[in-house]
Amino acid sequence: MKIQKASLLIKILEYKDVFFTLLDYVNDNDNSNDVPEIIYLQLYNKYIAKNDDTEASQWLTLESLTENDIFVHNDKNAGTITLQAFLIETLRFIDIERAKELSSTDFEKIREQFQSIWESVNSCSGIGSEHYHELMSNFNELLTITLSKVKRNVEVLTVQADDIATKFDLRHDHNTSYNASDLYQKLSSLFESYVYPSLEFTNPKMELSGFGKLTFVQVIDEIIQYHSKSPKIASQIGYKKTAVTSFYKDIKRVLEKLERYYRFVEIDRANYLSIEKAFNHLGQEVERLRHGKQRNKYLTNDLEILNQYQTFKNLAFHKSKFTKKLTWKAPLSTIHFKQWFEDLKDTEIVEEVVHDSVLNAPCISLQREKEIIEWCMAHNWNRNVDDIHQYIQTELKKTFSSQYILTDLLAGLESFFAVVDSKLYKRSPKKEKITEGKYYMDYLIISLTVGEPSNV
Amino acid sequence: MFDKRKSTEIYHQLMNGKVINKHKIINDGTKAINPLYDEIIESLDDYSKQYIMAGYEFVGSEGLPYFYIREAGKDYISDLDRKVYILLLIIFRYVSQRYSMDKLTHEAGGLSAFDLEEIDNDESFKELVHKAQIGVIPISKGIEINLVNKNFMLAKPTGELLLSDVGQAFLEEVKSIYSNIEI
Repeated sequence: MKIQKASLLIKILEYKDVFFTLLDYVNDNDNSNDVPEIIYLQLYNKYIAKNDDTEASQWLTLESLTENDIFVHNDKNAGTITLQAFLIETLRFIDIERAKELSSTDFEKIREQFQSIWESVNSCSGIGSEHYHELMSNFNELLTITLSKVKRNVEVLTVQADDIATKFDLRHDHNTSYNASDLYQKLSSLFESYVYPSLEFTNPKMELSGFGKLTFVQVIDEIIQYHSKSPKIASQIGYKKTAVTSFYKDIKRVLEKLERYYRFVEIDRANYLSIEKAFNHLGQEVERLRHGKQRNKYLTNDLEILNQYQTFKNLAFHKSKFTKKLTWKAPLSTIHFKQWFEDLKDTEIVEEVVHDSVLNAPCISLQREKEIIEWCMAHNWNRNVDDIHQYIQTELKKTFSSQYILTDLLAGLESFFAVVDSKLYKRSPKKEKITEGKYYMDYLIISLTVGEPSNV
Repeated sequence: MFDKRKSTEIYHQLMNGKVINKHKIINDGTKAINPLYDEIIESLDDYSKQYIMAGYEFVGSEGLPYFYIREAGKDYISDLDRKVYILLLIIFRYVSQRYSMDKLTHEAGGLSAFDLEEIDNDESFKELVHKAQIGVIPISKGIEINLVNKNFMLAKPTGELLLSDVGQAFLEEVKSIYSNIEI
């Protein structure tokens, strides 16, 4: 069903929030104008179909919007829809916060277009020819578009700077999260990709390196010079050039504002990185202690990482060395009370640390232990086993499948040693290791040799 | 001439392994000059001599914004040092990940009860405290015993904790050590 474009656009704007969601997707995904079909269908079902607005529910279907060129393409294989470029531009125009800044690539494209027109004008047969009029018409159109783009760009950059300012203000609110590193990245990218290119484009004194490359301003100056004998045309072009370059000051103001924040954020980020490094350094020491053994598992005072600090060293509770002196039987005084109070405050009530780190092996339940004993008793043992640990591990895994954990092996071994005559097994000095998930066990190999029918 | 009451208090604090900072927090939550620090500065030579004669090194007389004593000739890490280093590093890490470091130094900031609870619930901090044998749980209790009681952190009347002068000096030292090295 073909719908009158004006009415359709009014309807789209009534449901602009739905289309803003699509725009957000485009902004977040490299601006290819392609959006997964499913996103629109979900939005349609949630916000449009359920309304009493029958016009909206009929006009804004996927099929209707495709038929009426709002979605220029519906790729059934990829499941995507391609949004009309003017719709994207309109939505960005309505909501400045969703508008995109002009990047260095955008400016370069504009500059190339201007230079190409200027070269054509310069080589055409002269003012008055049909080709000249055609070129000048293109030039004027491009100049008007550039003026509106640059003006829009200044607005977008101002909004971006305000957004940075709001985020930066969180720095002073000590209860709200503030991430210096993220803000630094955002500021850096804003400077390099958008603010500096905008400044360079509008800078009247800018010069480009590279043979024959002209800046936007240089191209305009050349065209004005070309029309030196037609002052009316030259002055009209001159006015538009001034209109574009006048935004230089506005961008400079945005730059100065951002630079102020940048200085603080840079310091905050440096602090953040230093502390990250200090903590990671400590983390490396802790990592070495994650061996699961009972010895050498704590951070000790002789670590270089601790000894490098000089702010304070060898702080100690000196009174502990003079306890006898301090228990003198003199008349009670406030000194006694103060000392008692200090002692009380400094007494570390050592509680049993329930450390739920991954390093603590899980406890085996009584029920499981019982099951393993029963399994041990009922199991048809091999007569010759080279490695009892490996054998029990394999057999228990078969029995308990995915529920098997390394502590089951301990219970299995305990049951094994309880029921097997010690003369039947032999210990070897060879060391082996069993690894099961995040736990492991070191052991010396024990082999089983049964000549006659086993009493297992 | 020294102040007898203050000198007793100074002795009391230094012998209990505490640091005497240049600033303290007063009732309105702002920082003010610590009268005990002032007292030491006024009779610096006397105080310094007193502790040196008793076999201690009087640290701070070279112009630091804090004073403490340690056994002369023993420039090694004590158990208390280890606990304080680790707890302060935990606090620095927690704050740097979420806030500006000003939170720990600005009078309007401070570690709140919420922040302490967050620290208590962090698994990596729990492991670190276990490995450093801080000896108490939760971590906030360790902070109270080792940092607040020893004057590395100062409590505001509203309960938030700020770094004292020695705490800030340690923060600056960590920043300066790690600002130029790659880990």
